[in-house]
Amino acid sequence: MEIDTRSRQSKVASNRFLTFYLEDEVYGVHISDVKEIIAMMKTTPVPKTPKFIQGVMNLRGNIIPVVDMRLKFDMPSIPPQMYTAIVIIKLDEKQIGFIVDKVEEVINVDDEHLSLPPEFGGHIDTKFIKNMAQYKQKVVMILDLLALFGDEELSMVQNLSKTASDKG
Amino acid sequence: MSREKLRQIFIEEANEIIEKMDVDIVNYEEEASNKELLNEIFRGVHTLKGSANAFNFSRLGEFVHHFEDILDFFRNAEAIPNSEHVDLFLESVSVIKETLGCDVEERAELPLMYEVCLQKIQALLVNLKEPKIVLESGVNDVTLEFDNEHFCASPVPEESSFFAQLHENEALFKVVLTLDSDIYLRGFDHFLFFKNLLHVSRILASFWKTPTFLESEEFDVEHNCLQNVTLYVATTQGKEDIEDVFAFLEEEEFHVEAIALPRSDSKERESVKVDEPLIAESSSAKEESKSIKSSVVSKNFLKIDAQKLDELFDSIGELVIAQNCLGENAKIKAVQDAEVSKTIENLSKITRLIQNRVMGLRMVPIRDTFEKMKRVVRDSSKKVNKPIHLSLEGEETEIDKTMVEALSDPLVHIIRNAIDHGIESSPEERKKAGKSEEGNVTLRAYHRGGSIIIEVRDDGRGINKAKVYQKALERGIVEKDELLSDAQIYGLIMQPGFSTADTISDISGRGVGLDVVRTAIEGVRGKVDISSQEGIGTTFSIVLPLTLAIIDGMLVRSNEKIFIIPTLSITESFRPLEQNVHIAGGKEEFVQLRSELLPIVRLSRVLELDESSLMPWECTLVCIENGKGKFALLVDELVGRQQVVIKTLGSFLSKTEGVSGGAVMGNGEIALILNVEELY
Repeated sequence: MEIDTRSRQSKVASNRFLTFYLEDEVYGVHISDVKEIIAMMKTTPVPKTPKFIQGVMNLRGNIIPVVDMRLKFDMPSIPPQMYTAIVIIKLDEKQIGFIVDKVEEVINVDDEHLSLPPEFGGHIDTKFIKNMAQYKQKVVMILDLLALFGDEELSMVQNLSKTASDKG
Repeated sequence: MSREKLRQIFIEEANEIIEKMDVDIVNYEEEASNKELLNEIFRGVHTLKGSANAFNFSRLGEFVHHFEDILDFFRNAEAIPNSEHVDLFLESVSVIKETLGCDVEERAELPLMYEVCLQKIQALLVNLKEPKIVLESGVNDVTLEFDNEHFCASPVPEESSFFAQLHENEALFKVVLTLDSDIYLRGFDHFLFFKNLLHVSRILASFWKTPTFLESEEFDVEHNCLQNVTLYVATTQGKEDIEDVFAFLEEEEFHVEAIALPRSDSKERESVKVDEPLIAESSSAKEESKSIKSSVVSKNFLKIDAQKLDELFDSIGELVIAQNCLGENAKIKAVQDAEVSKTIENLSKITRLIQNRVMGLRMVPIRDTFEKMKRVVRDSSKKVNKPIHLSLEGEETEIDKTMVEALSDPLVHIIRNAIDHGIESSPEERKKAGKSEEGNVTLRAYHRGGSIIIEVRDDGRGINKAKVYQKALERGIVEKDELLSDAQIYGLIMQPGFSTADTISDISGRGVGLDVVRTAIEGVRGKVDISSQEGIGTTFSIVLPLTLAIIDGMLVRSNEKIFIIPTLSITESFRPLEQNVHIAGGKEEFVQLRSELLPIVRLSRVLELDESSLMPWECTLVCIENGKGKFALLVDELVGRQQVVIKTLGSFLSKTEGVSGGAVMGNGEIALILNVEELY
C-alpha cells in the first residue's frame, strides 16, 4: 500500500494520522511522514546494536533499518502474526521502518480533540508522545517521530552500542 | 536559463580551462616548437577573458587580458619562451585560479601574487617588444589611413596598381573584412587585426566602407559601424598564414583572396588573377589544417550530473537483484521449459550488459590526473634543485570518476615524497651510484585482478630499513624487540608522526604526509603497498577497487549468517591443523602459518553473535591484513566469491562497529560487509 506523501506543511492543518496497534494500545503517526506500509519481511540482524533494532531490510534495492516498536516501548516481542506490518517513514530524507502489530486506519482529528500528553502513563516514555487524540471513544497516542528517530536519539543509540562493545 | 545558472556554468568551465592550462603549459615547455599547443592555451585564455568580463569578474578579466597579451606575443613571435617565462606562465595560472576564487566569493582582497605577477607580465611584455619600431610604425600607418580622404568610402583602385609595390618573392593578397556589429564585445577590433597582419605581411592599402555615420547621440561605442574593410597586403608567406590572423573570426567575416603570385624575377608581371596551382595548394593546406584540428577536437562529450548517474546506477542495481531473484526462484527453476530458461538466461545476459555499460559511464582515463602531476614534478624538482624526469605509463587505464578526486592529493604527496626523500640529493651522488644524473620518477597504472594499481616508482636511494626502524623506536611507534617484516617496516613510514628527513623541507618532511596518504586511500577502500630496494629505488603501489560502488567480496558463513569480506584485504584462507593451533592463557588462540604466528579472531565473538564452540581446526581461517597487522579470522566456512554492490546502512546504523555496509544478495536478503579495520 503506497501512500501519497505531499509536503508536510500543507498537511499540518489537516491533522490526518495513520493509526496502528501495539498490544491493545492505539498509536498514530502523522500521515505526511509515512511513505508506505509493507507486509512483514525478513530482516538481517546487525551486530552490536540495541535490541530494539531488528536489523536491516531490502526495500527495492535500498537498505533501511527496521525497529521493533514493541521492544522500543519495552513490550515483550512476539513472532510475526498475520497482521504484523512494517510502516516505512521518511524522516529528514532518511527512511526507517518500524514493526507494528496491526495497521488500523487513517483518521481525521480536529484541533479541539488534540491535547498535550499527560505527565505519566501508558507503556511508554511520554517524551516520545507529541499529542493525545480523542477519536471515537478511543485515545490515540500521536508519536513524535523526531524524538523517536531523530538525530539526538540516534546518537544515543550509537553511544549505547559503543558502550556495549566497550564492555565486550 | 537563469543568470545564476549561467554563472555556475562559467565557473565550472573556467576551472576546467585553468586546469587544462596548467597541463598544457607544462607540456608546451617540453615541446616548445609546438605552436598548436600554444594556440590551444591561447584559445583557453581567450575564452576565459571573454566570459570573465561577461560575468563582471573584472579583476580576473583584467589579469587574463595581460596574460593573453604575453601569450599572443609568443604565438606570433619566433621567440620560444624560456624556462623563466614558463615559470611566469604557471605562476600566472595560479594567480588566475586564486583570482577566480576571490571573484566567485566576491571577496574584496586579491591574491597575494596578483600585483606582483601582473607587474612581471607587463615588464616582460615591454622587454620582449623591443623591436617596437616595426609595430608602432605599422600602427601609425594605419592611423594615417583613418584621417581624411581614405576614411570615407574611397573608390577601390585597380588591383594591378599594387603590383609595382611588390618586392621580390612577395605575393599580393586581398583581404576583405566584414566584421559583425558585435565584434568589440567579442574582444576584437580592426586594429588588432591590422597589428597582427603586420606580423605576417606589409599592408599596402586599406579601404573603409562606412555607412553614413550615425548621429553622435545614436552612436554606440560597443557597436561596430564599419561594415566592410578591404586591405591589400604583400607577403612572402602563404594564404593560410594570413588566414591564421583571423582564426578567431566567423568564417563569413573575412575573406582572403590571392591576387598575384610571388614575382620570381624582374620580368614584367602578368596580371593573372589567380593561378590554379595556388588554389589547389592553399585549399589542400586548408584541408590539412582542418584534419589536424578535428583530431584535436576528438570526442563529443555530454555533461551529466553525477547524481543522476548514481540514481541510474541504483536502479540498475535493483534490476540486477530482481533478475537474480527471478533466476533463483524455486518455482521457476522447476519449470522444465526450454523457452523459459532461455528467456531467463537472456535476461540475465542483458542485465549484466547494462550493468557493465552503466558502470563504464563513471569511468574516466587516469590520463588527466597523471598529466596534472607533471606540474607537481616540475615545481618540486625546481624547489629542491634536483633534475627529474617523469614518465607516464598506462594513462589509458580507466578509473571511477569519484576515485579520481580522492586520488589526486595522495598522489601529489607520494610524488613529492619521492622527489624530496627518494631521489638522491645531488646529481653527483647519483653519478657515483652509477645512475643517470636526472632522477627518474615513473607513474604507472594498470589492472590486476579486480583492482586498479597505481604505482609511483623512483630510482633513488631506496628506504633504509635500519634507519626507519630506529626512528620508529625513538618515536615509540614500535616496541623494542618487536619483529617486523620488510613490508611492515616500510609501512611504518605511513604512521602518523613519522618522518626520517633530517631537515624539515618545504615540500614534505613534516611527517604529516604519508599517513594522510594512507588514510585517504583507505577512505576509498584501497590500500598502499611499499616496496623498496636500497640504492635502487622505491615503489609506492596504490591498490584500488575498480569502482567505489562495487567490491569483490568473499562470502563467509558464521553462526548461520552470511558476511562479506572485501577480497582485497584477504591474503589467503586455510583450515589449520590441530597441532598448529596454540592456546595461550586458556583463551587467546594463535595459529602457526609457515613462519608466522597469527592471532585467531573469532568473528562470532567480535560481532557478539552466539559463541560457537567449534575448535579452530573444525573451521576455516581467513588471513586478513589491515593497517595494524595480520590476523586470522575464524569463520564457519567459505561460501563463495561474488561482486557485490555496496550500500550504506543509512545514518541510523552507519557507525556500527565492524560493519562498513550491506549488500543485497541474489535472494533479496541483505548480507553485511565487514570492516576489517575494526575487527582486530
